[in-house]
Amino acid sequence: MNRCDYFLENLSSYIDGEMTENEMKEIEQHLQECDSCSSEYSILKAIVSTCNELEEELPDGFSSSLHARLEKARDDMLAERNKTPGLKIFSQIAAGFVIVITLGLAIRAGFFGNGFLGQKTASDAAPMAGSKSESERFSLSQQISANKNSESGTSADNAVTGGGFGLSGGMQDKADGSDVTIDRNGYKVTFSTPAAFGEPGDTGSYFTRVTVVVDDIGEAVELIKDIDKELDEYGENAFVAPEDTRAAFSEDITEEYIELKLTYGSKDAQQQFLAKMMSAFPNIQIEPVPSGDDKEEKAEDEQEGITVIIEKKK
Amino acid sequence: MDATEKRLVELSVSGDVEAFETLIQSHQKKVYNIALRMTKNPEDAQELAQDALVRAFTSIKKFRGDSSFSTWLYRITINVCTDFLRKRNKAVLISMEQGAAANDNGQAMQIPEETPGPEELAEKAQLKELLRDAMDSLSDEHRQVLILRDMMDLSYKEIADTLNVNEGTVKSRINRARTGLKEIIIQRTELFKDYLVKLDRKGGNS
Repeated sequence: MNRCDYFLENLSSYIDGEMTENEMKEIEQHLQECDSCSSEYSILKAIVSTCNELEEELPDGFSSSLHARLEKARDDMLAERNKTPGLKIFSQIAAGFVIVITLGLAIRAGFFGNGFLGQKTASDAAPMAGSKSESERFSLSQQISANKNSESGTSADNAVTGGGFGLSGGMQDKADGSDVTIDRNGYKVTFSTPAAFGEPGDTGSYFTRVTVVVDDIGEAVELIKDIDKELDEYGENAFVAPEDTRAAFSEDITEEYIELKLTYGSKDAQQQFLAKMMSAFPNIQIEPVPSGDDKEEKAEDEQEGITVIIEKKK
Repeated sequence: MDATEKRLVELSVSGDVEAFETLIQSHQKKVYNIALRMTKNPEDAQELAQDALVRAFTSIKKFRGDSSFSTWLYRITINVCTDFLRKRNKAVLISMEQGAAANDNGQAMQIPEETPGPEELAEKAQLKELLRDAMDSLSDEHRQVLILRDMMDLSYKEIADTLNVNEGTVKSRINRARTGLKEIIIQRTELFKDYLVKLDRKGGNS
């Protein structure tokens, strides 16, 4: 890279003092030598210092109207605390929500093809064979199991988009060659066989986008946190999300939309996370997003992983 | 987090509005300014700044002190504003072309016709105006990093934490945003180039 290019690329870091001493020296030396870069520096620095002064005063009445809103929020909160506790999400499921699993596109990579139903999960003590143990494997959702058979079969007419998953209410619980059907608490979910998703072991670069639509984002995040915590306890499959995702978990939650980025240390852990997510959220959508698409400014930390998008129900 | 702040957070968790107001005393102006630059509109900004502050109050039990309180608060603000813009942009997208066309019809230059006096103050004020305009024409993403860096004075690390991206991304985004800002300004007025250089020679500030 030519020195001026290097200079221009790092000019902002230099102005902000976000550099090592050696790098600073390098920049300073070039600054002495090159008129055009030096003038570039002056311009940018003046812009930055003016930016610093753009701050405007609070509008009149800001504090008093804020005060009123805070008092109201407190009253609402206290009222909420006195209500019966319990997660809305669970009660929705208990009320017999239909489970629809949508698979937008064929999943290229191995996690459906390679032991999604648990055959290869090391932590599973029982030998896996046939649909019986698969359904055992899938009953991770104790949340739902309290409500067995409440709405069995009502979902047969539900539209299912994409090719991968079909919901087949009332179907026999069996694996018939190309499809595997699992009885889940009265709902039957059919998974296509691995072949439909690409070669087993094909781990082409991708990440998985999971979308759920819920009434209360806060509760959904709590639920996902619980799922994550369960996975954490597997030890070898330890959750290895970067710190910043942890922060997103623990902190603010926007009202309409939140995006979580998860990276798991192993494919198994990823599978288990997805399986648990499917159990917990009735209207989950899962789609693979090939990485390396021409998304602008793809961050370096966006490697394979799972993006969970939680949207508030309209 | 110092002891006072910690105590105020605890009181806020228990629902003490006054404690929370003390806690946000020195931050609320910045919260408002983030919202103002993000939305470009004082009414929206007031609404959203208050939304963010109320949300911080109601979810303060989730604040664990991993980051500073202000960073946490700014992050909420950014999220609230991003949500708002995302929703609004869906609606606005279609009318954007019309907007651009209108600008070509002579509105692009929003610099006052009359020449300012030689006083630097006037020039500075004009530069601010120009900068504000230029800022508004940046992409949301670029505007966001400049708000956090140049208005909120956050470090690259803090910005990375706030936006949930890595520091390398922050670094390149800031550089691109500033270059973009500069180009908009230069494009709008070559005259200011001299002024900017002059300003810096006089010491400016850093």
